[in-house]
Amino acid sequence: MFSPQTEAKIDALIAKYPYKRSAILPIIHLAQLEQGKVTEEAIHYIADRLDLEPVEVYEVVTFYSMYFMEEIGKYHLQVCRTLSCMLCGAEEITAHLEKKLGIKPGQVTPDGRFRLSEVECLGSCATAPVMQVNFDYYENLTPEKVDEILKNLP
Amino acid sequence: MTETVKIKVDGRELEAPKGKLLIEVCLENGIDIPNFCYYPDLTPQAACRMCLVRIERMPKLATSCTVQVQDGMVVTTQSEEVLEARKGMLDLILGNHPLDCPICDKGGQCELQDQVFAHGTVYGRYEVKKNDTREWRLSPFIAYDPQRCVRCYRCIRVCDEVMDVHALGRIFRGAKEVIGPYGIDKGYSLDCEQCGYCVEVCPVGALLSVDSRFRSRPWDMRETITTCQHCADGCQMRLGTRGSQYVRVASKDLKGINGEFLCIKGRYGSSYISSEERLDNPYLRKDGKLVEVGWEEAIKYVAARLKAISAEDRDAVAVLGSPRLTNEAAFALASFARKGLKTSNYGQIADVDLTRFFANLTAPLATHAEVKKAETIFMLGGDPTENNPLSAMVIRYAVRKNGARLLMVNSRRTKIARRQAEMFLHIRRGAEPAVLAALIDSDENAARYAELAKVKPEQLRRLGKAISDSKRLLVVIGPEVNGATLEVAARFAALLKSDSREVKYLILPPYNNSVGTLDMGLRPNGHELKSLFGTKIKALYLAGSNPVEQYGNSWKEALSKLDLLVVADLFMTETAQLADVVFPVNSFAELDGTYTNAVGQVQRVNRALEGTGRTRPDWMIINMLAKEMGLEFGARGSAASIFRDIASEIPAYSGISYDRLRKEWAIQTERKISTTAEQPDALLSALKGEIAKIDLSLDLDREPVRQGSGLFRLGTLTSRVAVMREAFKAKEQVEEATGVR
Amino acid sequence: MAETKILTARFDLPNSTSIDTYLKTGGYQALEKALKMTQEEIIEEVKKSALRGRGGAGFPTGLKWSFVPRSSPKPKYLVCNADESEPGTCKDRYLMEKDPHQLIEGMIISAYAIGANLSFIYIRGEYWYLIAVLEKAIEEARARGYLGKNILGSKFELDIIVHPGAGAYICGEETALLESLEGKRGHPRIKPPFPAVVGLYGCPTLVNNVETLSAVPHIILKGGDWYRQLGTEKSGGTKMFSLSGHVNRPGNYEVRMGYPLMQLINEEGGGIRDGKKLKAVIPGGSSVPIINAEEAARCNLDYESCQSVGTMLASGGVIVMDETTDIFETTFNLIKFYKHESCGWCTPCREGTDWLVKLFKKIKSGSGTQADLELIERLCVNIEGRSHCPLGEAAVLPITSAMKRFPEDFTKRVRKTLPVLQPA
Repeated sequence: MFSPQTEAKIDALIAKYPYKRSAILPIIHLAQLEQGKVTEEAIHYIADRLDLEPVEVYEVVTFYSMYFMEEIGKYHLQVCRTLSCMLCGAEEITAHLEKKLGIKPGQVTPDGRFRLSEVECLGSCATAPVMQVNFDYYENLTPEKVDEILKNLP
Repeated sequence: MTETVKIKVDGRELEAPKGKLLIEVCLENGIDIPNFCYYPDLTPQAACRMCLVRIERMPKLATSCTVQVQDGMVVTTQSEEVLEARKGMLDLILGNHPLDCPICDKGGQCELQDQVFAHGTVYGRYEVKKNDTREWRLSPFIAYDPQRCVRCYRCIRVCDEVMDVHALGRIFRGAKEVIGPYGIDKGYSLDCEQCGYCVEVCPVGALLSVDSRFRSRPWDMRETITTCQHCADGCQMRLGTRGSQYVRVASKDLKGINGEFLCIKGRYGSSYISSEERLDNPYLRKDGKLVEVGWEEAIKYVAARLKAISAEDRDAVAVLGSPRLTNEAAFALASFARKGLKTSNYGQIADVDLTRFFANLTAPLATHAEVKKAETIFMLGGDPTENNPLSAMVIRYAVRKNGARLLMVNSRRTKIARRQAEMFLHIRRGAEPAVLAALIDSDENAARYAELAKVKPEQLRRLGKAISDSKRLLVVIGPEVNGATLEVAARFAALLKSDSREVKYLILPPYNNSVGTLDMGLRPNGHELKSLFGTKIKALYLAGSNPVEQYGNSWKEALSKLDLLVVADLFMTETAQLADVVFPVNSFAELDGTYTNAVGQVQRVNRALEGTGRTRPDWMIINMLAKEMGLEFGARGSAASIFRDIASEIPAYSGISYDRLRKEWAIQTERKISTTAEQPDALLSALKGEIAKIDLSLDLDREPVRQGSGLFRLGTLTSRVAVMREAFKAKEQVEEATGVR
Repeated sequence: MAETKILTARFDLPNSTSIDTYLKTGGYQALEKALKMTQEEIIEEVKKSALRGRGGAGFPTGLKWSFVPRSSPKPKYLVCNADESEPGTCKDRYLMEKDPHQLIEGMIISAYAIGANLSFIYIRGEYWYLIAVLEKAIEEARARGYLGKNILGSKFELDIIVHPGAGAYICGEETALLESLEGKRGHPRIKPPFPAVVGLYGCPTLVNNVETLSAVPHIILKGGDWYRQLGTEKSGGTKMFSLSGHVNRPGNYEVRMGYPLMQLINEEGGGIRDGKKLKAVIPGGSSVPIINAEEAARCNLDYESCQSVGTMLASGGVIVMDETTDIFETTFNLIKFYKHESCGWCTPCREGTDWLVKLFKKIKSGSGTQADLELIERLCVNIEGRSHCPLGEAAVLPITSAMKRFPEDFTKRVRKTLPVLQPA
C-alpha cells in the first residue's frame, strides 16, 4: 500500500500507543503526505490496521480540516484569514494570490502545482499576515514577498 | 441495594435511586421533559439541548439527560427561563428544517412536530436562504434528509451500541455534518445487517424506509400489534395496513419482549402478504394441469380421495404441518390426523428434533429479559446474529451493559465470537459432543477430547473453570447440536445446578413456531415419513411447507410417488406445483392465533387484514375437509375456541387465554423439568455414539461468517419481499466486489 | 517596567533548543529537586505559586493536580495541550520552538506529581515542524536519563509521545482533545466526570497547557512563594502575551501578571501603527469580550483586572485595533472562525453559528435591517450558556461585547425597520 518507509512508520506508530486507535491521526497524515490526498484505499487500509470499520476512519478524515480526499496539489498555499492576519492585510495577500494564480480559494491550478486555501488561525498572529506552504511558515507577508516565495519554490 | 435519594422537581418531592438520570426520574413521574437525543439505554449525548432544566446551585441550565440525581437536588422544569431555552432550541432546529410536513411520512408521528406544537410559536424570522441539501440514499431501503435531521445521533448509537454494526457515522463537521455510511458523498450504500433500527429511532422524518414511503399518512393507517413470523425469537411488531394493503412494520414504543428491536426480516419481511403472487383460489389438477376451481369442488375432491385411501389403510394418509403454522392450526391439524383420520403418520418437517431437548430438560428456559441479566453465558454452537437476531441482541446487551462473560464454542467464527466472546473455542465441525463430554468427564481425558475438537486441552480446562466459577449461568444451544448431544445438553444443567449457581437455557431453533407446533403434537418426523411415500403412505396433506425448495430433489422424487398430494400454502411454491390440489391459506396478517417462541412464551398473532375472503385459515380448511368426510375430531369455529382446547389439553398451556395474552403480551409456558440427580457416566455413555461420528478428516472452518449470510437468505416468503431481494442482491454485489464469499 | 523573562529567558541564547544549553542555564535542576520531594509537596508548591491554567480557562493548576486520584489502580496520564489555536495567541509555539526542554522538564515533574508514567504532547497539526524539535529534545533527555525507566535513579518512569492534531480548534478543549487523542472526532465529552478522574482511555488524566507546564520547573526550583510574588496576590507569576494587530512591534512578551495593558501596547509594542489612535482591544484571544480604549486604559493584565472591565485574560492573545477598524468586519471575521470550528455536536452552537454567519453576510451585503440585529442578539441569547462546551459561549462573547461597545459600527450598516407585529 505504502512505501516501505511509510509502512515502517505506521508500524511504529501502532506499536507506540497503549491503544492502537490513537495512532489514527498521525497515520492519516503519513498517508496523505505520501499519496497527495487521503485515498479510499488508504481509508480501508487504515481501518484494517486499526480494527475499525471504514466509516470510523471516514468520520475522522472528514472532521479535521487538514485532511483532503481530493488532490491537494504540489504546493498547498494556506493563507490565514483570521483576525490578527486580517488586520494586517491577509485579504490583500489572498487577492494577490487569486490574481496571480487565476484560482479561487479551494481550487487547484490546472497544472496541479498550487492549491489555494483560506485557513483559520495558524498561530502566527504576531508575525501576521502569514501563509503556510505545505508545512512551512512564511510570515510578515507582503505581495512582493509572496511573489518571491512562489518564484523560489522548486 | 442502591441508595434512594429525595429530590424536588417543580415543588414535587420525588424519590429515586441515587445516580439515576434526572430525565428518567422526571419522565417516570409524569413530568414531561422534551428531548431528542435522550434514548433509554443509549449513551447520553447532551447534544440536542432540549432537556435543559434549572438545577439549584448550578451556574447554567443543565441537561437533564446527563445529570444524575443527588439527594436534595432542587429542579425547575417549567419556569419562564427553561421554556424560553426550549423555544430557543426549537427555533434553531426549525431554522434549517424544510417544513415539508405535508409530504413527510413522519408527519403526525413526529417528535419535532409534537414539541413545536407543545411550545407554541418560535421566533424564527430568518429571511435568509436555508442550507438546501439534497436527499441521500443510505441504502436501497433507507432515505436520509439532512435538512430534517436534528442530529440527535440516536441512529448512530443504536447501530454502534445495540447492533454492534458500526455502519453509520458522523460525516463532515459543524453545520455541514450529516449522518451516513462510509462514502456517503460518493454514493456508497450502508453495508450492514439492514435492521432498520436507525429508521425506527429517528425522532423526525430524516431517516425513512423507502419501501413504505408515500404509501400512507400515519393517521390514515391501521396499526395492529402482532408477532413476527420469521424466527423463533417471536418479536412483537406493529403491522401497518391501509385498506386491504400492507404498508409497513414498525416497532416504536412497543413494550413487548423485543422493545423496539426488529431485524431486517421483522421490519421489512412481511410485505409478501400483499404480494401479487398470493394464491386467491383453490387449484385442482385437471388433465395434468393445475386450474383454479371453487372451494366446494376442491374440498369435495380431496375429501373423496382421502376417504377412499383412508378406507384401505388409515395409515396410508399422512398429514404434515410446518413450524410456521400457528398453534391453533397445528393443533387442529394434529387433532384432525389423530382423532379424525386416525392415522399414526402425522407430524412436521424439521431438522432438529427438539423433543429430545424438552423431554430431558433439567433447567428452565430463560426469557430474553433474563438473558440480558446473565452473568456467564456458555454458547454451544449457534449463530444468533444471523438466525435469531433478538437473542443475539440480548446476549450483546448482557456483555455490554453487565459485563457478562461470554464463553463460546463454535465451528464457525461468527460475529459474536469475533466481537463479544471472552473465550472462543473454534472447534472442528461436528465436534460439539466432544466439548460437552470434556466438560462432564474427568480431566485425564481432556487431551483426547481436545484432539477431537481440534483445540488445546488447556482451552477446554479454562472453559470448564469459567463455567464452574459462574454464579448465574446461561447455556445457549445452537441448532447444530442435535440427536443424543442435544439430549445430553439438556441434561447437562443437572450437573451444574447448585445452591450457589442458577442455570438456565436458551435454544436457537430455526422457525417462528418450532416450539409451539411441537407442543401441539406435530412431531419432527417429516424426513422419516418421506421414506414411506409411495409404499406405506399413498396420500399426503401438507400445510405450510415447501420441502422441494428447502431440500431439493429427494423430496421432489418422494412426493411424486404419492397418489394424492394436497398442499395448503400462500403461494404456488415449488412443492405446490407438484400437488393435485392446492388450498390458498390466510397469511399471519389475516388470522388470529398464537405462536410459542424459542423461550416458550406464547404470544398473539392478531388479524390485521380481512383478506380477500377467498383464502382460509389452515384450521378452517381442516374443518371443511372433516365435515365433508363426515369425520369428528373436535372441530372448533374460531381460533379462540381452539386455544381454549389447547389450554385444557396441553399442560404447559394451562391457564393461558387470549384474555390474559392481551394484558400480559407474552406468557411463558411451564416446562417439565427433571430433577433427578444425574451420574456423569450416564451422560458420557449417551455421548459415545455421537463422539464416534466426529469426522477427524475435517479441518477448522476458517471462513468468517459474512454479515447477512443468514439474515438475507431468501426462502418461500422472503423471496416475495422486494427489500429482501434487494438486500440479497446488494450482498452478492459486495461479495463479488470484495471477493469474500 | 519592562519584560520579566522567566519562561523566555533562554529564547535569545544560541542553540537554545539543545540540552547542553539547557543544562548550562540551570536546566533539569528542578527535576532533581522534585524527585526528592513527595508528590504532596510538589502539588503544595504549585498551589502556593497561584499558577493558573495558561491555556485560557485560568483554573488553579495546583488544585487541578490535586483532583487526580493518585491511589487509583488505573494508569494515569499527563497530556500537554499544545493545540494552540485561539486566534491572537502564538506563545506556546515559541515555548516549544525555543525551549523544548523547559516544557519537557515541566512535564516530567508534573507526571511525577500525579503518578503518570506515560504522557503526550498533543500539538496542533499545523505546527508539524515542531514535532522534530520536540522529538529531538525528548531523545536528548532520554539519553541523559531524564526520561525512560528509572529517571535519575528514582525508579520513576516516564515517556513522552508527541501527537499531532489535524486541524480542529475544538481539540483545544480538553475533553475534545482526549477524544481526538483516542483516535476519534474531536467532540467534547460530557462533564462531569472530569478528565482528572475519567480521562484518556477512561483513566485519570491531567491536561495542562504548554505555558503552564513550562512554568513548573521555575516554581519547583525557586519556590511557589517566589513565583507568586512576581505577579499579583491572586494571579501569580509572569505570563506571555502575544501582541498582534495594529501595533508597531507585534510579538510575544513575557510580563508580570498585573502589567498594565496600555504599557504593553505602548512600550513593548511600540504604540499604535502609523500614529493612529486606539479603538479597541481584545486582550485574551478571540473568545473574550472586546473592550474600548477607555476600558483598555483601566485594564491590567491579570485575571481580576480584566474581569473588572468586562473581559477576560484567557490565553493572553492581545489583539489591538486602531481607529480605522470597522468592528462589524472584525466581528464577522471571528464569527466565521467559530462557525468553521464548531464541531457540530450540539444544536445551539452548530445551528447558531451558521445563522450568525448568514445574518452577518446579509448585513454586509447591504440588505440588513434593524430586525436582523435584533435577531443576532436573540441568537446570542439562545447560544450563550446553553451549548455543550465553551465554544458556543466563545462564539457569542465577541459579538455581544462588540454590539454593546461599538453599536454605531453595526447600526450604520442596516436600514431602520418598522416595528414587526410580535407573534402572540
